[in-house]
Amino acid sequence: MGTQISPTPGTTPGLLSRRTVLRASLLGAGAMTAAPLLAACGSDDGGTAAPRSAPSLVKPSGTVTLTLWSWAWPEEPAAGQLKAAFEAAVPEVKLEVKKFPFPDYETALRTAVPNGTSGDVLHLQTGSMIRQYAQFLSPVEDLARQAYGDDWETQFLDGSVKEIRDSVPQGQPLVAMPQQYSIGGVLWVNRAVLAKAGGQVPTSHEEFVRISRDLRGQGLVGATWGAKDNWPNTDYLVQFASQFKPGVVAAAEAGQASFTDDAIVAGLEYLKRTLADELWNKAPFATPAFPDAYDLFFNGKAAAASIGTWGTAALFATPNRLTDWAACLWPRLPDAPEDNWLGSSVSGIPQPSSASAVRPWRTVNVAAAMRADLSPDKQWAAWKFVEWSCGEEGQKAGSATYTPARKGIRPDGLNEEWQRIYDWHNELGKGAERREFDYIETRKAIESAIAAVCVNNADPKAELQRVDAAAARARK
Amino acid sequence: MTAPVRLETRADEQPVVDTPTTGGTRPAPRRRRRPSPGWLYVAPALAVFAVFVAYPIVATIRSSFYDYDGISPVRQWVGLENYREMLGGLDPYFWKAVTNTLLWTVVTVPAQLLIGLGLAVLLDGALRGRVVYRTVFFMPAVLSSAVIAFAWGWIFNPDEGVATRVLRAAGGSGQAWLADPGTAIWAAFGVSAWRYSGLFMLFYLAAIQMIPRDLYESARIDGASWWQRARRITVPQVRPMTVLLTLFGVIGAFREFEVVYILTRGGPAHATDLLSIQIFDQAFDLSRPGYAAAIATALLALTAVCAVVLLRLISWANRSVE
Repeated sequence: MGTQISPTPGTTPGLLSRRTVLRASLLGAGAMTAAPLLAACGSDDGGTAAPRSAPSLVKPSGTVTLTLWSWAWPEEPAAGQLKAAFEAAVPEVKLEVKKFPFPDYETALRTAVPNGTSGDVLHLQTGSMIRQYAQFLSPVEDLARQAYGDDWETQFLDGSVKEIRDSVPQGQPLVAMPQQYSIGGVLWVNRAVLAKAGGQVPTSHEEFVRISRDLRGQGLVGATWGAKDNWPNTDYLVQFASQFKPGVVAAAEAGQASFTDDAIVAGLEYLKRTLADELWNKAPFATPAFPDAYDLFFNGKAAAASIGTWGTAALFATPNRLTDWAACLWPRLPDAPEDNWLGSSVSGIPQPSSASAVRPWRTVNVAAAMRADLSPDKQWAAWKFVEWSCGEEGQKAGSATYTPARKGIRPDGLNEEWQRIYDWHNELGKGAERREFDYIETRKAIESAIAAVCVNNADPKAELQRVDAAAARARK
Repeated sequence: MTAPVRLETRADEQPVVDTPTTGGTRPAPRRRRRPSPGWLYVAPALAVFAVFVAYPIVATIRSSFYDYDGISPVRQWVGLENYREMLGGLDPYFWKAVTNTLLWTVVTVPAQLLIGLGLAVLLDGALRGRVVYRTVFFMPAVLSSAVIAFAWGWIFNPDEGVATRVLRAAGGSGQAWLADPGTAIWAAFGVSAWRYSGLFMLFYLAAIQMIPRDLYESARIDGASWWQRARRITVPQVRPMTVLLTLFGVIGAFREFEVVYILTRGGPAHATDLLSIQIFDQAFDLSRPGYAAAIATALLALTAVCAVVLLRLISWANRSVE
């Protein structure tokens, strides 16, 4: 913005008077303020849309440095081993990994992805996270078909690719590949601790209460819950509501049911009841999930924790875990209808809890995606990393620290019992509930409702009405 | 006859000598006035202010009229819709956050002032080891918020926290301080008072040491007790500092974020939600920077009103001491 300052009465041409300086300063400040605002005004039309066609890949003539941003990359020494394995498989690419704590990762993505300053390859969660960034990511379906064959989708655990597809509006291309897939919400139990309360896994709510009471008398804990972090809370609600009506939370988020549905109300009331019945560690709503709540289980102070295949790496921390730990499902909730979803298809349950046990949840907890604005050689390198990570070799290499999304791959080092338990988890995926939400607003509203009901004794129906309103706003 | 010399003076100019003229001669040229270079001196500061204060404020206010997610370049003009949602009861947690922020201010600021003044009065005397005490009390003010929050998180830990153990040792059953909405905000108040009282103590010490000692001597000769001297001399004499610290305290209270966020994340059940936490949640968790900007604008207005009132109080306090 060019501004000519002309001499005005009362000033001396050629010299800067107070008024001149003041005016110039104000004009300068105004310009500094107005210019970006005007520029911002110009961006209201939606800006430049990211390319939606498959990327063009060009193999580099030399070495390309590729940056991966993740919150889910393993710790050393596994991190170095995984990096070395990839660089050995694709010597044209040098991998650099930037790992964030998850909350920081969400914040970093928010500014870096739209500005093109994020990593070349991104680890993302399904649901709202992929939905937010899909416009900045390359379509990968054609590349997957070329790399893995026409049946590529069936090579991954049931529902994993669909979960990514469902993360974006219908008709939009697939923008990420399933790298890690978890079955969660399965109770992992410590038999050594359970032995102090009779030695059996809980087969009913009443039995669970008795075990917790017995253990509390010995300074131990029945089950752990880090409710301060909120995400475990929605996991439990999704599971408990599904006891009364499978899929009801997902249906409510989609607007096909109401959050005030009796099934969700019953699930929420049961969650509150678990607090009154003291199934948990003290004051879950003041306890973070990590490290506090889960450490109670990992350190042998709790009988049970809601884990699942995502916790597989913890099995190897000490040798006795493979023999002390087992797994079962949360026993059927009081007053819940018969729901023999396990049927006869699930085998190898080492610690049966009860018929009609609570369904676990499933999630593609890590999907690999690549930015759409990369140069062709970077696109090539990025796809090579995604292809390797989601291919058999990469999945096997990473399986000791994360849960492979490919069928038939399980980590080395499991004993026979845990091999069966691991396979059993993945088999449970067929009846598991969807964990992630399409809209963060819905998740946040549910978190608030759960806290209000469990901590403030608020009316569940009234709180869930607010969730309905929030979900409706989000869908708009 | 010679006319008298007349001096023209403007507040911002050098005096100009208007020389009398005689018939037929040209008037003597006026001396060239030199402009004050003051504005040049402040121009860098003005530029910094414009870029780092004025622009963000204007940009924030402008953002509050838009609905966007902070990621997509699409921004939709919604006018006053964000304000309607905020003030019209559509956001169930906004007014809770306003209440908590005001409560935070009216509880923590007086607590910090009282404790700070009390410590300063105690440590102004010939107390043995007073330098050590001053250092100890001041130390929390220089610790990072994260360290403070994690330390107090452990102190309040419902199983093994120091506070819980002390209560148990005293015969109680322990208290889940941060899990109970009734106690969580008071626990956070306590942390805030603990953190800043030492800083306030330091300011008060400086103010107390400026009080003429003969006032105390006279009072002592007149038979005034320690309490009377503190009440009748110290407190009135440090009034300007009290008002200044109140201003700092109020602004600090409105900006409080890190410790509470790490300690409770605004919970349980929004019991410790502050406006600053709401702004963060809306902008970064819920991807609603436009709505967050509306809350930030409300907080700015609240802060500005308090600042104006307190600045007037500072003038009054200064005059009253003079």
